Amino acid sequence: MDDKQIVDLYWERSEKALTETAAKYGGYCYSVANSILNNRADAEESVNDTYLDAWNSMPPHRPSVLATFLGKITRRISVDKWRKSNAEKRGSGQVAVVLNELEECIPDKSNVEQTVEMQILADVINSFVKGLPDKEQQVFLCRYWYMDSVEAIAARFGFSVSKVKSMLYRTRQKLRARLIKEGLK
Amino acid sequence: MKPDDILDAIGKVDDQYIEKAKTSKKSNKKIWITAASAAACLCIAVAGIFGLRNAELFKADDTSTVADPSTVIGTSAQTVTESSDNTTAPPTVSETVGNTAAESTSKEAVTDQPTQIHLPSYWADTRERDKSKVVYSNMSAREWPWNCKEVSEQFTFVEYNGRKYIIRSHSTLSKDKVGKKLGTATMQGYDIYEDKTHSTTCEIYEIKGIDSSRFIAVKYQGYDGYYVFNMRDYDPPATLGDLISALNLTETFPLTTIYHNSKKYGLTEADSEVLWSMFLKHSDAETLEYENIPSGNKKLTFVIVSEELGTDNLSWALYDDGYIRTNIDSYGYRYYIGEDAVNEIVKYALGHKAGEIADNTQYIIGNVTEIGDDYIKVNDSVMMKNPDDGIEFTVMANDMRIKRYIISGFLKKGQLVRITHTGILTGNHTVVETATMLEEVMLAENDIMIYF
Repeated sequence: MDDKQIVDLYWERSEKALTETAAKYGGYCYSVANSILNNRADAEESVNDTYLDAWNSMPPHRPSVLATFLGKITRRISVDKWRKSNAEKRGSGQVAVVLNELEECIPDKSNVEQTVEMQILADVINSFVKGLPDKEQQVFLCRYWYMDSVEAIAARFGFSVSKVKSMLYRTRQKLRARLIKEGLK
Repeated sequence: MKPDDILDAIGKVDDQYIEKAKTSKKSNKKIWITAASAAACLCIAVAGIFGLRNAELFKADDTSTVADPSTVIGTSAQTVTESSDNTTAPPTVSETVGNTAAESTSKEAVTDQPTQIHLPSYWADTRERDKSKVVYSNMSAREWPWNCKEVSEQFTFVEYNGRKYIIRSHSTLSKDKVGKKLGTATMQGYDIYEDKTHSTTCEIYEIKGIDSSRFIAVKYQGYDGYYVFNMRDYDPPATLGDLISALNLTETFPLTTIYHNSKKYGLTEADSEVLWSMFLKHSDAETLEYENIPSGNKKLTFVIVSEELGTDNLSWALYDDGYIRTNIDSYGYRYYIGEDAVNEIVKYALGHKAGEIADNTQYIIGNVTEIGDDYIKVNDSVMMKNPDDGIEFTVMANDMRIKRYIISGFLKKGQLVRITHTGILTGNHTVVETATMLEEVMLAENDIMIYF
């Protein structure tokens, strides 16, 4: 069943929408969730929450690409779940490592926490990602959107682990420079 | 800025880049395995590449791996369970190392799938109604006692920065749409029953992407929610382009709901982008006042469904005289874009419309038989072809719009009412938990009014 047909089922409020979603994207959503949570039960719960969120989102949404629509929901739910369960004990799983890496991108390590305009930051990062060369863009998103391990990325692209690490390091430095240029702190 | 902010912002990257990363180049290595030993072999084969920690991703679950599309969803138990396909020996499966789970198909069974999805199950009313009876709302604008009003009904306007804003929606705005804080203000509300003026303070916020001289978000002291307020003074934007820009309409007003021939239809977000590009060609169209009687006939309406603008039923309509007429702002505006442009837009929208949008609103119409502290009982026998088919519903007063009828004493036993709700759960189909409105109505049978 193509995405348009599945989305039509949501709009018709037919529960078949969920079986079709699970059949086509259950594995994908699970892998997004598990990369973040590294725990089967939590990942399954995230996927279930994704289905409910999708049910409540369509209508009014009518996404053209269902995979990324669902993936974004799963990522958001999983990151929130990770934050709640790891508030005390950061240091486990890919998310903690990813956050440590992204720390390098922050232009001003002032002791005073300043609120950042999230929409502006999102726009800047979207523009930054758009401007990256293809491979660098894909590696960056595999790491920081999908939270794949460096080893998994290396295997996927046929790179060495050290090459992936240096690519990510360079991209993070570029992002830092961009954030400084945009005046974001 | 924190690393979490960057992580969240990366989450909002455009779909096309996420999609491209998902389908990124894979390694050419292949491992041939039989499905019968898929779990164990995959676990061993990939552990060396991904590291033992990630190998857990590939352990197959004994109970299920494949969603069976033919699973029957019963009306009483809305639980979707997946069955494992193990009735025949599966063929040899090729597995590509480094395959993302996005590529997983039902044959590969390399990832665990969630086992149950629970949805509420609603009762379907199949009773036959007496079609000779119709009801008319008896509602005039009732002024509720102060303690029966929600806070957004108590304090409905605010003055800030030399402008007066009035509440646009009594539903709260999602926090992720709220921008930076602009300031604070004092609000006043008047209780006509006690002849008393009440005061409160509030915080004023931007709504992300929207000019705060037109729309703001207000947070009442002591309450968590943010409410959309619209500037009340007459200050129209100069052009259509200025309106679109000020309200960030290409983002805040998706052109995904149309109303045509008394029905609502959906369009995709991709269609919305195309349609906005068509409207933007006429950005220079001057803002004109909305006349009371339009000179043309309506061809199509885009229903304005926008959380940021605090509405789900305002209108952006196209007329055959070449005008857009809209009530998106406090005042109605008119823009001339020409008959050809109107025809082009209407043709695209009607040519791409998808399924009809179902209306989930339902009603119970009947006489009040009992008024409790937190419920009202309503018997709908009067509306049934066979009065014996009538049901006495217990309508829970979960919403203040119902509860205030109890608190105020306005409701009387025997009164005919119409209850608006969004579904009755099958568990106990005489209990209504989702009631959102109560109206006092009058019954007409064969055009003759019947009074209770």
